[in-house]
Amino acid sequence: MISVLRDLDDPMPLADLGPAQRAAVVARGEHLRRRHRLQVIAVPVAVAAVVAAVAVALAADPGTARKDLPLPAAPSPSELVLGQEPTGPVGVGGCEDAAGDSVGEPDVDFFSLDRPSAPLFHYALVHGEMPSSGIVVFRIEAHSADGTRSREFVQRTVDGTVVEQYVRDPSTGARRDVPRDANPFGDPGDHGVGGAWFPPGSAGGLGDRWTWEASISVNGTMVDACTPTPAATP
Amino acid sequence: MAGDLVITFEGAFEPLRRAAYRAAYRLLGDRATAEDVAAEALARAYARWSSVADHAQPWVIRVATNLALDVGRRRATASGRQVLLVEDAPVDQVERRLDLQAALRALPRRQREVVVLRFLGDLSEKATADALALDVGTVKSHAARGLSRLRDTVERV
Repeated sequence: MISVLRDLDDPMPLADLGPAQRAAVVARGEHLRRRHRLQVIAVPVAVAAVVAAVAVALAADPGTARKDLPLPAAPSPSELVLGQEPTGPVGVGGCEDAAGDSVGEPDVDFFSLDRPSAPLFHYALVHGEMPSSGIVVFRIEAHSADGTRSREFVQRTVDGTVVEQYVRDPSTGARRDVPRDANPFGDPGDHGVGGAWFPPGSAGGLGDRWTWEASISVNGTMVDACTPTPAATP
Repeated sequence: MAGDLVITFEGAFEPLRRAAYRAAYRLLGDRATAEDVAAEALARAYARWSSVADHAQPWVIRVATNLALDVGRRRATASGRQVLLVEDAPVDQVERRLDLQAALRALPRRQREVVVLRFLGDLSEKATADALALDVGTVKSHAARGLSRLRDTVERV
């Protein structure tokens, strides 16, 4: 097999790039870096502007405010207390999704929740193009066997750049933010792969027979989801 | 700080470019496109060098592979399998590349990651294990299963 692949190598040696061509690569990299920096600045500003607009609207006409509008000034969530990491879920680490079943772009073809060591690993491989603009949320929801305890593992991207990732207890709102440096694959928009390490104990308290399901939403609309089965275990 | 960043990237530039080019060429068989893919992978590495630097080679190989698979998919979507047959390459190699692309896309995610780094990127088992935070034994297992599935499609040509 390896020899077969080597048969596919270019028989001609690859020449080094000249200074001008190398400078062009660096210039392209600088452009990408500036774009990422702008996004990092622009996204919180945009969020703040939306929150302010909602607050103004609610203050101006509270009688017509819909119940499902976000609160303009939610209290800071408490920090999630990490527990003893469970050993489950038994035999279920991955979720292969059917290609083409998405209701929009992108179409996810694999989710997994691996634990090669203590930390949880939230992963999504996108089949197709990531949206060049908009908010994309990868989410894994894990539940205890009796359904009374849950955790959400979330990675949120804007225009392909990861802006936040956290683990959260939906029943209490307690959450623990995970540094963006914990993303081992860079931004999903770069190459269709996204993932994040979560701290040991993130799934603490779920017991050893917990289950999980994964989903991806774009601009608030869920476009694809996947629930692992033992048959999908890699 | 910026100077250090550039010097470090500059020092790694050609080895990384060759690794990216090799993976892309194996999939595409097209020098110009493989060079473009390698350049784009390098530019993306540069853009986030501070977080990529300590695992730059596997990162660049993966990005180049995904970019090359995207190119292959777009070509196939636009023109079908004939698109590569007009290029100056033996027909059996063209078919093999198309089958390799399809087979890689069909692999389970972890097997694909391992196969890409081990056999498109020529990384050692240890380097692949480090890059994917796996045990070497797990890498061997995924590589064996991935290769078995690839053989069925690639070596029949």
